[in-house]
Amino acid sequence: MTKSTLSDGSGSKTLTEPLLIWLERWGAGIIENTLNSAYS
Amino acid sequence: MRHSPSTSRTNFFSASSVDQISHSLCKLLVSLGDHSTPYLASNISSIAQVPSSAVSSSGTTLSQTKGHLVQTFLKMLMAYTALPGYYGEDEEESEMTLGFWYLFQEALWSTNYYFEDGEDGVVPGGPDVEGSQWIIAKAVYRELVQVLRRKVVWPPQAVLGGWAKGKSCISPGQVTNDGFADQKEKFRWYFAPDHSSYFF
Repeated sequence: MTKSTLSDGSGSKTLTEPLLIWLERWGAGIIENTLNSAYS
Repeated sequence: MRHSPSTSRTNFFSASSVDQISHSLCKLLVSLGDHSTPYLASNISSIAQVPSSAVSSSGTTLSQTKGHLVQTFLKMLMAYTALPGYYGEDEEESEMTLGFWYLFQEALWSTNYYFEDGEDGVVPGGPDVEGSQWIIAKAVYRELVQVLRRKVVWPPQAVLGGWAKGKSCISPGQVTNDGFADQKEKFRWYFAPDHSSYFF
């Protein structure tokens, strides 16, 4: 069995950081829509 | 409470693309948290900048510190933990996030913090409980406790009565006609002492 290059938290520069940046850019708006539309 | 117990479930699970996207966003947050727990714990207060390669691939030109990005991630995950309404009736997402808070707490205790010059290293004798990372971590868990104290309150009879009106409830791998009993059982498990007391 070969070990995934993304297992055990590795790959922070190729996976974690790009996703954190994407979430920082787009995530808040999605959550805001959820709270405004689903629970209003 | 801002929602109406009799209609909120219908609204939340309607075929709106926003709701589907939002559910997927929650799954993404949970998956990333599960994968990157050590990174998140290590960088919770880091002032190191995210490498430019990661910034450019995300389509944004703004450079952020790792600490800012981690704290933003935690706020978003907390928003799903703190969704208004009752788990099992009004929302199905908050429970998905609970496992992360266990793992994250353990990671905070065993992490190698990144120092302000960007170098990582082991803090002698364990976490620096006076350090900025610990101040932020304590603030996060203080908020989590407040959120969970609200979420685990047993519904008043008037709300429970609304659950019994012929709704079917889908639990993992199972569809039952006795939606009321199933919802109650799910909620009972949600705030079972061995499930949540760890945070208190």
